[in-house]
Amino acid sequence: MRTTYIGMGASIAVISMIAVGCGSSNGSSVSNVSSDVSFTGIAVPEGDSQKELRSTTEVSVGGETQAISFTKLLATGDSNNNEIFGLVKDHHDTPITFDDGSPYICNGTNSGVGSGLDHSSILQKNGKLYMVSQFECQVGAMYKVELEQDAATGTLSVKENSMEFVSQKEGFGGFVHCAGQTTPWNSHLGSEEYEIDARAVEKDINASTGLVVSGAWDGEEVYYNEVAKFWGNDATRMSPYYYGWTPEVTIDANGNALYAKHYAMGRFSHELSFVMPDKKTVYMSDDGTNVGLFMFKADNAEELGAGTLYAAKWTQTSQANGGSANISWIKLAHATDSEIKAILDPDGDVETNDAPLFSDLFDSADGNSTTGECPSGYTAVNASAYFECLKVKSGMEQAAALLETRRYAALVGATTEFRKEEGITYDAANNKLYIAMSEVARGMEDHKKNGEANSKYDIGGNNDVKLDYNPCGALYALDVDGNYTATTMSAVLNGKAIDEDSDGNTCDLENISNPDNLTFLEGTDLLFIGEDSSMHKNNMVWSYNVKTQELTRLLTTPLDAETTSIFWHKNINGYSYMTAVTQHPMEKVEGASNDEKESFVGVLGPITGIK
Amino acid sequence: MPYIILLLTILTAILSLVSCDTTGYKNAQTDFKATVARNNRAAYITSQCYTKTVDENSTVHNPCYTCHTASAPPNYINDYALQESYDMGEYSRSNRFDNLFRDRSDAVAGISDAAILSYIREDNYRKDGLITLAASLSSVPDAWDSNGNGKWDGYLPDCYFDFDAEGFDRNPDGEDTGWRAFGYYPFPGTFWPANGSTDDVLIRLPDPLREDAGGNTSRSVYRINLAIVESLIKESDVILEESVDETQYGVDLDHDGILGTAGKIVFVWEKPDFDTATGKLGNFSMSYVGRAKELLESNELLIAPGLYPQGTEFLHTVRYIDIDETNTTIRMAPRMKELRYARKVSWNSYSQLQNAALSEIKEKNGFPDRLRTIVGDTEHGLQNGLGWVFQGFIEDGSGELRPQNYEETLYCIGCHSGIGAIRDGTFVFARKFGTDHFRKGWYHWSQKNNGLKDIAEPLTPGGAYEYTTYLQANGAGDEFRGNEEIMQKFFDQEGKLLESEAEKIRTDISYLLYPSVKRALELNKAYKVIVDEQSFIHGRDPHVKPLVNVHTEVTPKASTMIKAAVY
Repeated sequence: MRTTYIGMGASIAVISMIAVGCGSSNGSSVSNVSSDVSFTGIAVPEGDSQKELRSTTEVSVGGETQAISFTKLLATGDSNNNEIFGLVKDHHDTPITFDDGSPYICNGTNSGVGSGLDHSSILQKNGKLYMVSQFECQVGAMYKVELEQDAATGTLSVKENSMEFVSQKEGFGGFVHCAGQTTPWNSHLGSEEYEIDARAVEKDINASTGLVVSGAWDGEEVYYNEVAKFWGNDATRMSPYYYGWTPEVTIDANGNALYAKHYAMGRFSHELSFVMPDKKTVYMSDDGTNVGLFMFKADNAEELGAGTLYAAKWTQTSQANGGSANISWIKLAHATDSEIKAILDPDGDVETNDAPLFSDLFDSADGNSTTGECPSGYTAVNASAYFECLKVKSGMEQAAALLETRRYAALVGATTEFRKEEGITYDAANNKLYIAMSEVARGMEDHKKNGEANSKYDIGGNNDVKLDYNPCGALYALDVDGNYTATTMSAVLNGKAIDEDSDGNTCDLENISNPDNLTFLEGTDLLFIGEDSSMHKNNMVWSYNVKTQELTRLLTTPLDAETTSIFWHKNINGYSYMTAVTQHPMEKVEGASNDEKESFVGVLGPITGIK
Repeated sequence: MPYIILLLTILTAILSLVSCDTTGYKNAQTDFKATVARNNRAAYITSQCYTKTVDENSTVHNPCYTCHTASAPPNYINDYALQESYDMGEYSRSNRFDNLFRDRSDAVAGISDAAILSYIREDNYRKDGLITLAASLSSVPDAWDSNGNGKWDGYLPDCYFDFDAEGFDRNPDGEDTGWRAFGYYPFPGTFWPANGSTDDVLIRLPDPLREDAGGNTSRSVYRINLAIVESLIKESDVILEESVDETQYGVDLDHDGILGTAGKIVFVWEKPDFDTATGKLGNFSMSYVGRAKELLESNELLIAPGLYPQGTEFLHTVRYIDIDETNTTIRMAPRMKELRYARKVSWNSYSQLQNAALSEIKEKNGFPDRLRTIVGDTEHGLQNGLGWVFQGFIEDGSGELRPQNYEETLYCIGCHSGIGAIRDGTFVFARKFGTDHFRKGWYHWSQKNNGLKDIAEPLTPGGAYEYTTYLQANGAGDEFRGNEEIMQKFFDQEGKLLESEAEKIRTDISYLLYPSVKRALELNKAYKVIVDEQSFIHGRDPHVKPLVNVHTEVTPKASTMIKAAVY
């Protein structure tokens, strides 16, 4: 691995951004010819430049240099068509406000603390361009706008009076929308992250209020209780099983947003669902501790409402360099959205809570927490980092597989030991699927936690994964067969822990740290890696040449900020763009206006000539 | 600072570095340009958080509840469950405040009473009516100029501590500086004089709240707006200092339905209207007066219970403990240990504050060992992430005030964000004395001859005696149970609170909050040792003997054995 960069001059444009490329999985034909594309790297920021968003300003395509700029499209709080970008609404699609009158805009503080806009997809339909954006609050929100493209320059802008709220009320509302993908059929495939533990809810709920008892989860109960705002503060109407799914937004021939929650794809902490070129196979990452890796095979192309759900089994072949394994897939169940919706909502009225409870799906018993053994008839599992003894109730296999996907996967022998799976992308030219693992830790170690003996994450489980602790994380590549089914998984890039430097960095500055979002620029050899790290003082976005293993630093974010959901749209009427959301990019820059401090989605580009 | 003094300061710093080598201390004074903590990246988790809550008799002590408590919006932290466990991560499990374990007996013995009294009676803030620190900062030494632009970009001290009969501070020309002193009930525990320091707090509202509708400075407007802010922070009615003709201001302050004469601010909050089309709030049930009223209508300023208007500032001086002329009681010393400054630089709505609190939970769940990222530096102060910037000045090795470096300021952030006990990042304005107190509650401690004497014990929201409750829950008068004077005075051999002694606090809180003259001198000397060492990042708690009721290491998530309580 080599790292390249050039020094940045004193007059670096604050708002200029990233990097390169081409290729996407948005349905364009796959090219096996690599364009001669390279980006100019940037140095590690020092001093006041640590407060700024900094990025490369040029890319070379076929030997010709193109200037790159990052165009802000839409910022949180922007008004358009009497809608406010990021405003969260309730089960009647009425805006939610707090007691101070403030609208529930999914955004952090003006000092950059909090969650908000996470992913935007650009969709080409009806000869038009649409953008669907999703917000990462406990009550999720999605908005659709139309984009306009200057044919001569490729410049994108948001069309006046085009913003529409995407109602999710038929799917019980949205929840913690994380990363997303523009599917090969130009739909927005979203995510609902950090599903709530239904077993814990059932144990700690106040039946009369529907809320988890205050303090029951050391304060974390507010994370679930917050959803009551969607239900007009009536928590008895909500079930944890309503959240943790994969929503999809398609644009119909009239330009309307059609929303579907794909219950058939399973319920867990969905970071990202990524559709392969066959338009049927979907890989799904699960963000958390002791989590699984899942695959969905749709019955029909472009239809994710019916298919078969699988969980990965890691059979380790090497412990070295971040590890290698053969991957096999354990079938969990076949389901359709309507079958599972009928389980969640038997009376067909989303306003009433008739969802099953955890105890309707499983019998549970106490096990021996020292040996990890369970009473006869029960199976020991360790999913989400705790040991349980479970037995699926008779006839509830499909419901358990879909509503409690991670637990069920563990029950049937799949691996639930991964630690914070994040981004997924695909290099079609080389048949390689890439998955970012934020850390190699806990369940991924062998009865250890952060390198020290600790069985919490392996007791009762398979202990399939036995790797060395790496707090800086790793990038894994998976070979896929002719059916787009992954067969192997190996680390190809490992972050490197260092002694704390004078700036407080604890991962090598010339390498990745806690990799998060990934995107591949088809037609090149370039994989892009975004970080969500506290071990690099400034988060970075890298390009990684999968052939030369060259890492190039393309962007650094301000302190305490993150750039999320990078995604390449290779061909939008001949132009290539990378979408990215930057959170509070100007917050630490003196003199910046409040508008400049808002999180925004923008595009890097346009770039032309990517083959 | 004249160059000669600067040179002396640097020389002192070098000398202290050398002398500190034997104790392993790095020289904090050279670290002004750092934007990370060198010694303790978790310095926002204060030394008190490592207290041993169970003693050798298995008795459980709970000093934790004062900070970690059930909170009401807009404080969404609601962290009372933290009383029950040491919620540290892999890094913060180690207590890096190793000063706690040092024995300063020899060093303290080497300081005479006369020497320490002479030292603390010297004013290190003003000399000849001028603010010496402001003069130093105005020609900023390179060492403090963290961005190297040749000027000081942080707070330039502008309070003269020259108060009139209403507590307003005036500059040498007799003009108002905007700062106003107020009396308040000291927060339970470490901030009692008995535990080490005297202190004061001043507030300043931004210009529009000190100006009439025409933009002219007006004390009348300012007094009313201060009462409105007090009402919002306390979420209760506030008696006005003098009756107000509401017709002059166009605001029904007492909510009696007419514009007449108001004797008090009546706290009535109804959710304002939000207009999706304009994105603006309107129809406020409470309003500022004067120019701020217009800015509220245009939403350039906002208003809400529990929140200060954007631009609000606080000054907080922490001082040594002086002895009065009769040598029988204590008072505030001229010498400042610290000058602490806070400014609310941005307004964050309930929605934003709720989002921030929930995101902290999510971050902690995803990365339990990840430390908070606190942004800032020596010159600009540190941001608490909720709209406030905090900046501190502390004594250098020669006793002059100097800026705090990043890590020294990081220590302040943990309490001024992320705990349930605060109101919009602050502690004591919500504890301000009412209009029924001396000078209607608006005075500086130095203006009242008998200090905290004859002030009655405050009550908790539940109606219990607050300081007595603290003594009962904690079984001591400080977090570390190191204040033996209070232990001996208020508790029997079995550690049971002596009701006869607690009874004396009812009408005179100084009986608990003041140290004896002997203890005061010891506390001063113990702290002077820390100043000489410049070892603040290793712990600022003044004690002579090593503290024993504090962990050097905790097991993450280990139980404190406390059953969480909210009083």
